[in-house]
Amino acid sequence: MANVRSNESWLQDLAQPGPARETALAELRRVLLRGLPYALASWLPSSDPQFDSFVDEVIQDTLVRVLDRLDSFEGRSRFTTWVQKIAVRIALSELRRKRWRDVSLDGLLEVSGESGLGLMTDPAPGPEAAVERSDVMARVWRIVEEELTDKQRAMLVATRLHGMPLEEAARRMDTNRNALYKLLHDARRRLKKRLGAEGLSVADVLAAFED
Amino acid sequence: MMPKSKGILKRLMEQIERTQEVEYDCGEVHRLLDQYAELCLEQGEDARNLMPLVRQHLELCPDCKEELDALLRALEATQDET
Ligand SMILES: [Zn+2]
Repeated sequence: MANVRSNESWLQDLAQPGPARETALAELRRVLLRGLPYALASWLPSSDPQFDSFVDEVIQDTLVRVLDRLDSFEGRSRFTTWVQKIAVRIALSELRRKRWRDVSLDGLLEVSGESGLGLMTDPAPGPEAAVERSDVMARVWRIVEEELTDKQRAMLVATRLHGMPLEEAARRMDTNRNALYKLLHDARRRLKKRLGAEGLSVADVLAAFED
Repeated sequence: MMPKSKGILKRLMEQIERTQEVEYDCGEVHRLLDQYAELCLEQGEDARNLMPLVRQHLELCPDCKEELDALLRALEATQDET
């Protein structure tokens, strides 16, 4: 039940080098040290031999970034929430990078077939439903092939089929997470428009899957 | 090439159904994520409706959703000392 500081107090103490800043940094460190094991629970258990050094590094990087970006704190939340948000981003970026380090985009797309969509194959359902389904699917996949660029299809497959994080896919395409999100958004918008133009509602397509 | 998958196609169609003409990108959501997380803790489900564009992005972006979930866990663990 320690010191509940105001946002102004944090900002004021962190603004200048000196004892007040050191105290504030020590308090932030304590908050991060307490919260990160919970934040990372499903990613890196605190029993992992690398946990302590990883968390140390994340905290270090977080505090550097916080001091660097004090001006960008908009006061939309408590200051410590903002700091923890930064720590989570730093930690997950690094964990994602590690987890996907040995996976190449080409390798991923290769196992999914030449157009990248081959993996989307399930065992066929019962005979009659199967006919209707494969008809609907054939139409949908023709639309996917006609509407999307190679890049959009590849990114859709990597991120949505293989679950590659946006940051990781973006790094491999020499782009960034925002640009990649926009590219995927554009792909979804095109598909939505075209399905509409063909009179194929999303509900119709989904209905073809109902048993 | 004619994929026969139900699961993947279904997921894609669900994403298409949720697609809006205007969506926040990950950067815009990150900027608001601390505020959104506090709203979630204070108001639960209602928070989602107070920031609909953030909510909508989170439904479509597993990466940002993972970051929100991690942040919420950290906030819950540190609530009594911040
Ligand atoms: Zn996102």
